[in-house]
Amino acid sequence: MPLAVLSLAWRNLWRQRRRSLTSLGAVALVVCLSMLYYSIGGAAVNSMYSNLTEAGGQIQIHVPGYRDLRDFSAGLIRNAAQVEAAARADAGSGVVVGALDVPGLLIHGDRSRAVALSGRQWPDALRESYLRQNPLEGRFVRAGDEAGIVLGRGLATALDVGIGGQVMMYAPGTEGYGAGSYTVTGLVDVLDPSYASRTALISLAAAQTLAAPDAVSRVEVHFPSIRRVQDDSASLEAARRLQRAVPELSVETWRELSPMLVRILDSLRPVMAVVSVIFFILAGLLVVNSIYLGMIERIREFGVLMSLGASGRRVMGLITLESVLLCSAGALVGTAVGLPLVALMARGFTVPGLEQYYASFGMDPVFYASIHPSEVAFAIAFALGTGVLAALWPASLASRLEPVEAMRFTA
Amino acid sequence: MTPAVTPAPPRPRRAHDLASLTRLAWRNLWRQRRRTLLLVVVVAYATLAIVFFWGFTDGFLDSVMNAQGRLVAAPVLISSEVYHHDPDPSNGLSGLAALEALALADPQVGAVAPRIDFGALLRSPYTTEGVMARGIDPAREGRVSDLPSRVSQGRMLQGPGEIVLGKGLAERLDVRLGERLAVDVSALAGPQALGLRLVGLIDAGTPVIDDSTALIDLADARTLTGVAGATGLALDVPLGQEAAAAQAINERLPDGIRAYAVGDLLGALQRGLAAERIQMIPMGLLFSLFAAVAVTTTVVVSVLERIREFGVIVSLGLDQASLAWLVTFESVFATALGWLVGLAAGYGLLWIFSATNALGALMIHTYGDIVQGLALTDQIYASVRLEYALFASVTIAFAALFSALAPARRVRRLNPAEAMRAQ
Amino acid sequence: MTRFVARTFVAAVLLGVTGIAAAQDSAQAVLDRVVENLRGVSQWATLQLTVERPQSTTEYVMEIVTDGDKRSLARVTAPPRDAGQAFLSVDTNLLIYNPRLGRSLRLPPSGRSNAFLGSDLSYDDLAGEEYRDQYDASVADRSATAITLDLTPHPEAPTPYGKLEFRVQPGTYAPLSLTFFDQRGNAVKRMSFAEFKQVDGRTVPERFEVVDLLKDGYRTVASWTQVDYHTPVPDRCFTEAALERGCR
Repeated sequence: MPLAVLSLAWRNLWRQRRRSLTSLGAVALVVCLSMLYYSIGGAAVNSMYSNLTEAGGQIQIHVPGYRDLRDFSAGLIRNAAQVEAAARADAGSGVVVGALDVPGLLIHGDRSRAVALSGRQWPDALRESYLRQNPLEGRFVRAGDEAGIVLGRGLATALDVGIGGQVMMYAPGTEGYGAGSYTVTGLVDVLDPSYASRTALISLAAAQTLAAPDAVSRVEVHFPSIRRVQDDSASLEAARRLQRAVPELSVETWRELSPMLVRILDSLRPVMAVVSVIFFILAGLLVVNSIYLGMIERIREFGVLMSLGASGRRVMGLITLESVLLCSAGALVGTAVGLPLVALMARGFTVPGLEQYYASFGMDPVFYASIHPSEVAFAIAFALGTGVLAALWPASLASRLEPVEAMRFTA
Repeated sequence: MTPAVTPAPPRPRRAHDLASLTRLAWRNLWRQRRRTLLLVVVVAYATLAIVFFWGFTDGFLDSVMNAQGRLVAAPVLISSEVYHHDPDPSNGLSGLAALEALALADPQVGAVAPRIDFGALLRSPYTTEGVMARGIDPAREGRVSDLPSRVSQGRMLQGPGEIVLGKGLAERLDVRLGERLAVDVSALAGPQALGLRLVGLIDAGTPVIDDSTALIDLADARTLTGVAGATGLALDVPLGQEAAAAQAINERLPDGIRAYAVGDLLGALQRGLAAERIQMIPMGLLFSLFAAVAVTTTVVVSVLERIREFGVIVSLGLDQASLAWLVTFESVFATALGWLVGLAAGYGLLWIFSATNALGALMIHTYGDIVQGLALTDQIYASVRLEYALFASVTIAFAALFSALAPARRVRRLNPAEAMRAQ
Repeated sequence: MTRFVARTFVAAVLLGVTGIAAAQDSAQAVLDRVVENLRGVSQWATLQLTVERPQSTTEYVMEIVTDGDKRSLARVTAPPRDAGQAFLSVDTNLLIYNPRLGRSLRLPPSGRSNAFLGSDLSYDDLAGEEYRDQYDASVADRSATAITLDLTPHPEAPTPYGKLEFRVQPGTYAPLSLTFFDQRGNAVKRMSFAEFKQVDGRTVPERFEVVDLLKDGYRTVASWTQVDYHTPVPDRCFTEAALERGCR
């Protein structure tokens, strides 16, 4: 019996090819677009993630309790080269960078400003992303350069110095020479105005000579190839390995480092929740409309069936089966089109015409889509469920009419 | 069973001109209420979705920015341009009275409050903390900032000799209500120090504020810094009007002095929020695409479902071309109706959410700690801007156009006999 | 240099005291005598400054010359890493010389809160500010070995301390110790004085210790050696040239 009913339902569907194809198309479209929607949402989250981890890396190593320390010396990681080597061994694909921040006074003529001079290494990937966000005039920091310094434009203005000028750094209470003289080689337009008047960059070697030979304030581990939050687990594992490798130091992930920025990332969630509601109502409407309209037309047909002896329940059963078959086929098609599209977008996509706009905000114009299996499941389930329900309503309407009324039904 | 294209009938009855077709189309819509209703609902919802999507996301991000702005900075701040890039008290403002009058002359500006922001060293018996302290006029600051309303213990300061700290900062210094702090400033007049009594603690729920806020009286700030006027003039401007007000005021300000809207004052946070906003663009485009597709398919499907009916109409004498126009008009009217309803509903919703705080209550309920972490408490407003209508209209018009073409073409080539037998 | 500290800070504190005690040897009278003892004397001296921290101890040796009033010059001779640095204080101006810089620079006001050579003292301590009328004094205890004064700051005094306890030697009025209390009654820092010398009828400490009572192992000790009170101090010792080259 079931097989016969099944084949009847199937034949019914293909008897009305146009209508069936339209309904199938609607379901497929909704499934496909839902997956696109989720993947674009994922792209937005991934973009935020990149933004947040670009500057300081996914992992940072400090001395324990560094946040409460006042003493410059107490906050130093002393055998920097060793720690960096241990980090490299366990970091997998991560890029290890040492950084030393030296607080003090930057002086030019009779002007001065309190700064935290930032001495660090700049591997290519990091230099690129920094300069993308903060355009440079002149020459950037060079590894091993003991005499060059790059200033934020705001700071340079405050000190009334330009490229080629000489500034002096006075860093009392530190462990190196405590003072040094540098030539300004470049000026950066710092994107973030609150840092504009405080940015001063030198090479790590220069900072160590100035304040702490063979020591760093922190070791950063960057994973520029991780572009999606869901791939972040690699960095988490690396963090765990690193903590075991250097148990006397504190290893923190980016979430622990800047809770405020994590809040910004999390703030996408309520926004996405509301947007999802809007989206899926639209999706539901689309499915319902296509299928419902089709079903309305068939009420006459149901009337004929019922006048031939089929009970209301049998008609309902038939319709249900048809709908399930149809919507499943539609979901299948939608997934077959949607998933490869998402996979393609996961390799990177841009919004044509807006690349410049994004770049002006210092953002990477390339987005990386990603979708979670639960989201795939929800997209399919939603379209399927909505489609079947949309078909059932007119069917139940028909089954409650007298056959004669049904045969005369007009929408 | 492909419908053969019939040879052109001997004399097509073109008795119907476009005007009467129009009227006919309109009446037809109301004859088939269920079908029309469905189409209108889909178009209306598609329009509403686009308008609401942008209004909500813009509004949410604006709300975050504004909440932070009213705690960290100000809706609009007048300062010297030099100060904006180099926040040193030596770059302060003078001629305050004239500037205040100028600002108040703008109808958007409800109140004005002078401020002095300066670097200071706070000394407790146990430790020292460097902060950016702010000298305020207690009588006027409440109009431009939400900080006074976030005092969780003690009270807001009322005059010289008092200081209010963020809760986290007070903990780091280990200073309690009623105890005295020494405040050291090394500025224009040389090293100055004051002993101030802690009278209140601020708890805004977010470390940005709680770990770094120090408020003192303007008179004390002047003593400490040697600044006679102020470093900035904060203005009270209604939510959403900050940029417009800043622009209007800028036209009347003297050279070297500018008004900055909250978006320009927030530093890293602004970057984060701007990033969020433009990350929503692909999403917005998807929405538009989806809406267009929804409209198109609905129109197409609803027309195609009526093939049998069309067959009857044509066999009764109406020529295919006129029918095609009829169908097109029906689609256009229904779509236009849906579009208007959608705009009205969309903007209506946005207006409700911008004038009241309904969104906020909902958000707090489901995402309480996230929202609190952004210092939003429950103040989330939607944004109401005309450009959303543009996004929606472009989308809908495009969809309507597209959707009118295919069915119209199908109708033009209609073979009545075949049509009447169609399923 | 550190006597300069003692002189300016402690004396400044004391000069600002408005004390009343009806008893003989009132608080005010005691303080007046102590101030006398602490008032600077023109001198040449070698100062050993030991900065003790949990992880390490650093010993600085400096050549000091001061006019006992508002001017002093300190040049670091040890350890080798810091040797050659020099500090010139004239009124409230502070000039610094570092051989790496090759020139002297005036320390702007924003730099003055930095710790001097990483010790428990700041430049502001060195420059000194006279806070008059900031404290009330009373005699808390009298014994054969010490007179104890309680100095309570006025509510608006620019100090975070709740009370200063000043112990003084009876008879000579030499300062013994100054203990800083927070506003909850806990002692947080103590300055002690030792190795007293008689100079022109005054009892002058030549060893001075600051202990952080909250942090274990944090201590700064200054002791004067080879002090010469008699050789006159010329004006040229307080110029920029002297910063770079000294003035012996």
